[in-house]
Amino acid sequence: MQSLTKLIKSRVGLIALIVAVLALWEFLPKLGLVSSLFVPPLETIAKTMVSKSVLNNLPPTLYTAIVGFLFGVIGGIGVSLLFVLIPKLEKALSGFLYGLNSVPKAVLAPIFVVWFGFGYLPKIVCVFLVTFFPILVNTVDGLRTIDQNLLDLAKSYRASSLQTLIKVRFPNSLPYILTGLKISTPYAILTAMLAEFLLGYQGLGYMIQLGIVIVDYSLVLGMVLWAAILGIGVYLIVIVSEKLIPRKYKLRVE
Amino acid sequence: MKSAKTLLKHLSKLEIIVYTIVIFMIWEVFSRLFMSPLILPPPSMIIVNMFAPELHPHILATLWETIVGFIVGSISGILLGTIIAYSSSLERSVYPVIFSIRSIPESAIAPITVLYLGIGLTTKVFIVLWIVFFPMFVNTFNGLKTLNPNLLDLAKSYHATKWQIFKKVRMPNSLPYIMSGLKITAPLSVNGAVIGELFTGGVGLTPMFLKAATEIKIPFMFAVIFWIATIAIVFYVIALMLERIFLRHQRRR
Repeated sequence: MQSLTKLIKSRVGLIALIVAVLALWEFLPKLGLVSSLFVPPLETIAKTMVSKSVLNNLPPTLYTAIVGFLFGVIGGIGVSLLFVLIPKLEKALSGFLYGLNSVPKAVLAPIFVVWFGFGYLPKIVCVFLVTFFPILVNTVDGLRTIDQNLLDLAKSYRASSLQTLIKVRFPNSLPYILTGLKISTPYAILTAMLAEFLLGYQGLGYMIQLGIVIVDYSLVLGMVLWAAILGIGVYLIVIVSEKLIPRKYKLRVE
Repeated sequence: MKSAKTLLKHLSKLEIIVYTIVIFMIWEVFSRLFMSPLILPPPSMIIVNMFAPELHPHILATLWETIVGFIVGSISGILLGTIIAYSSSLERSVYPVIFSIRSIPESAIAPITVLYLGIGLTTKVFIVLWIVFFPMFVNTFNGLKTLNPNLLDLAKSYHATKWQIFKKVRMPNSLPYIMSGLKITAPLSVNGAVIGELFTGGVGLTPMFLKAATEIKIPFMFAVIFWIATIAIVFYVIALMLERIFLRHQRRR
């Protein structure tokens, strides 16, 4: 509680600024000082955000983001384990993977439509890729940065490389994996949104496209706010799971 | 001994290049034997498509957006980082604000930018700037702030003026930070241009890509993606070279 008041005190300027911006946002268009068409007051945006047609478009985006995210986590951890077991494989694929990583994943959606058809799959693959890379990079880092003594200990017990990987390296890499998760969560929602913007017919991204076409500013702003809320929600889930998981493992390692 | 080490380093770089070429060859053979070019075109066909004359103006447009955004973003980041590092009141008021908005990803800011800045060059430049500005700002700020206090005392004992301290002590100290900021942002900046183009259309690689998608010209789509990756890699190499040029005196020490 004390730390909370301390936090508020240290951020008092920032909080005042946020409140001021929100107040201006609400009242400038209401007083007619700026056009409410271009800067819709917060009330209008909030009303748009909870309208039925908007709420119907939330589940598709969430579904795409979460399924793609889960596959990205599993894939990223799996491939990084392979990379550590077979270092040659990492060298062989790294050039190709870094090239692929430098392209925004959502842009690949039209190609995935050719490969996987319409529906959720092409969008899920986009989210998968955007989650996959940070997790891969972080997990490989975590598997590699390890106390040499631990490795020596494992060796002295004649642990096979697979056993060392599972019992020593993997628990050691958990905090790194969680960092990767935290990096990739906001991008999971946003990539789902961008892919929907390109492929259309449902979801937050489709509503943004619609908002731009029919020049409904409150719709676009409301959708971006929804994306932010969903992103923060998924991020909080990761934070909570961070609190739950490593404690168990840290005890075992230390 | 040292030359052997550098030789080894070059060899491992060479190894990655060789492996990458091998992967592309496997891809080539695989797609020629088993795949229709409408699903997965072979790399040779993609590379031929990369040099199709109708792509040229679009490559130039995307490059232009990226370069303008990159220059504006990095210069404003460095300038603002320097100003805020020198003013403690600004540090307390502006720094937390910048710090809290920097976590908004470019793909979230893009639709809003389109609403208020239109579909012209400004929007795309702004989104590139959004990517480039924050790492440059934070790195410049950190570089100027993290300074060995002994160096500062030494400079003061020589009666160095503020400008002299900036030029001879603080600036050289922050250069490695600025250079690593460049290395982070250079390959990402193309992404900004691509995301911007996604929302605005017009001339550029992404609108060309989307047009090819509606015409189901798959090799052409892959060619655009190869261009985006190539630009990112070339920008990264340029940043590496800049780092080498600017830090050559420091490395010798």
